[in-house]
Amino acid sequence: MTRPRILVVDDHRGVREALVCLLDLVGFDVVGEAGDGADAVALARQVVPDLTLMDLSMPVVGGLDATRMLREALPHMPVVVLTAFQSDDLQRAAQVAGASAYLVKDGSVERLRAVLHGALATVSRPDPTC
Amino acid sequence: MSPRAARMDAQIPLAADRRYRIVADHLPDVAVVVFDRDLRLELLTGAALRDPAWRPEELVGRTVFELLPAEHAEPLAAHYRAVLAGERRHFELAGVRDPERRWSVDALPIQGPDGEVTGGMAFCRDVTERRRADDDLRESRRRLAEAQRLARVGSWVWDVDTGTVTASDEQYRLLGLEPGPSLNLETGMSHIHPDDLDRLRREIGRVVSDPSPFEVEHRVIHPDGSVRVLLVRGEGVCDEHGRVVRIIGTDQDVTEARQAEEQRRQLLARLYQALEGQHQRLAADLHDSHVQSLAAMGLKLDRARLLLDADPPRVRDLLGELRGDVTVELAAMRRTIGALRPLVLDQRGLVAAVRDLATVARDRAGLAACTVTDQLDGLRLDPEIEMVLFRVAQQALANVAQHADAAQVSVELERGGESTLLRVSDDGRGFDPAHVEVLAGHQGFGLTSMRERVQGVGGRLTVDSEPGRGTRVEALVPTPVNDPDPVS
Repeated sequence: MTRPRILVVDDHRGVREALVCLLDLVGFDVVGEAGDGADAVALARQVVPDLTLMDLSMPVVGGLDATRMLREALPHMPVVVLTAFQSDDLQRAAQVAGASAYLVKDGSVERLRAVLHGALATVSRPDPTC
Repeated sequence: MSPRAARMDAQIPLAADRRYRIVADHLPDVAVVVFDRDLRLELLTGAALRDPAWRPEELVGRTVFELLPAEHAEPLAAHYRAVLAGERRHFELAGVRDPERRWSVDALPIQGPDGEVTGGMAFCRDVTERRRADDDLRESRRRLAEAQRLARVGSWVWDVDTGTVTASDEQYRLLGLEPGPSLNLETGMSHIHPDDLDRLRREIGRVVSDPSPFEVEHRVIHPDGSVRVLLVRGEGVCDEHGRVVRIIGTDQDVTEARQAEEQRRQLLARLYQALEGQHQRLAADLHDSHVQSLAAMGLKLDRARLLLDADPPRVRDLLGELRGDVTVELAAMRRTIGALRPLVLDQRGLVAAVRDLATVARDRAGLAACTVTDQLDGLRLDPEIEMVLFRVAQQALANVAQHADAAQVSVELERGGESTLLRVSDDGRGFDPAHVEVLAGHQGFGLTSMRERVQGVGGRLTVDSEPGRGTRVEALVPTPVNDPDPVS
């Protein structure tokens, strides 16, 4: 089975490194890392990941704006928000921006894996016959 | 009968004259003197003479020079001579035996049948009490005016029927005018700030029909353009029919009090703003640093858990990393707490706390050196003073780290007389203090808060800097000699 290709976006280097190792361990390929929203959009255009794991609070371009931009640039690529903020308001804003799911960083790796797979399954893939 | 008495009687030969004499004798506070061309007294009568124990029979037939000391006789004689020359004279005299006594004298010539002046008559009234009352009234008014000037309170009376306003001198000054003739209401109102005029008119208009007290505050514009705030208190005064005939009131200059209130309000607003800013920075710090670090550690723990069976050596490495992460995080937490409340300041004093600040600043700004020297010799200052100097040092060093691009920084604590000086100097890029002062309203470099803190304990903050020449921040605060306690 092909391992899903993930772009990890987080401005905190420690979190980013831990995520890269952990995702690898639970069956994902991390194909890129970015520390802010602008880099994330540029990198996603290059590597075209299956899914982007997106932090919200970041310098230059924040996660909500980056999610919106990614959904425009790559409409079939799901974006899952992974943030330290536990906020209904932010969760709604993330949904409006086009995020498939909203995760808080204190969740377990099993929950993270399940949500990523769920997001990958529900987003329609481009029809290869078109 | 003595010759003098006979002479006195001879001057009043008629029954009518005797009656006049009886009247004069019984008029209170009056003395009548008749004198001849030689200034010799021919008649003295009047109830007032009894009081100072003059006896007319001792006086009649003697000249004023024989009766009075020269310093009294000469001025009196001058008036009498003028009377003998045909003048009427009005003058006041001090008493001879009782210098406190005041006499008001009207003197006029007496003419014979051919019109020739044969002598004079002086009608003397004892006005001592009236003059004393006048003096008391004058003194009382002077004190009232002085009290009004000191208290910056003016008083006024508005006559409703005539429309005239009688005002105290201070009232004029409060309106920015020179004391002068009566005001009318319109003139008085013409100095009032246009935005406050309607409100004042409404209040005064109400009192014309309802005399109950009112209180209203308004601004006045002085001729020099300055604006003062006056607090007006007044009420109506009614006649016997209950109709308001006068409105009386006082104006008090409360400009400084209102300015102080406004400054206090602004200070409070800035204080709350600073508190909010501090909360915001704390929240951001907690989120960006501590929460993220803990989240990263959680992810590492997940990883260790997943690898527990498959790769125990890797788990051991991960746990080692985690131990290091915890140490780093604890240090970061201590920095956050220290920024909130420098515990080291309470426990080990200003110098130790400033040394910690210097270490952090050196590391954070990559300084070649950040030295701390002090002349406190282990003395502890008043806790409030220590906190103020600590905050100034903290802000100044934060500015160095953020803006100065400096290599060498020195922090000095000097003690001299009854004051302590904190100096933070750097060799960085400097700035134009005038430009930064303009930004002070936006908390430029925290200068405003530093200055307010230092001024709050009676001290002075100076900032000396120019572009390319480094910066020196000095806080001089009073620290009385008996305040510091040796470290126990």
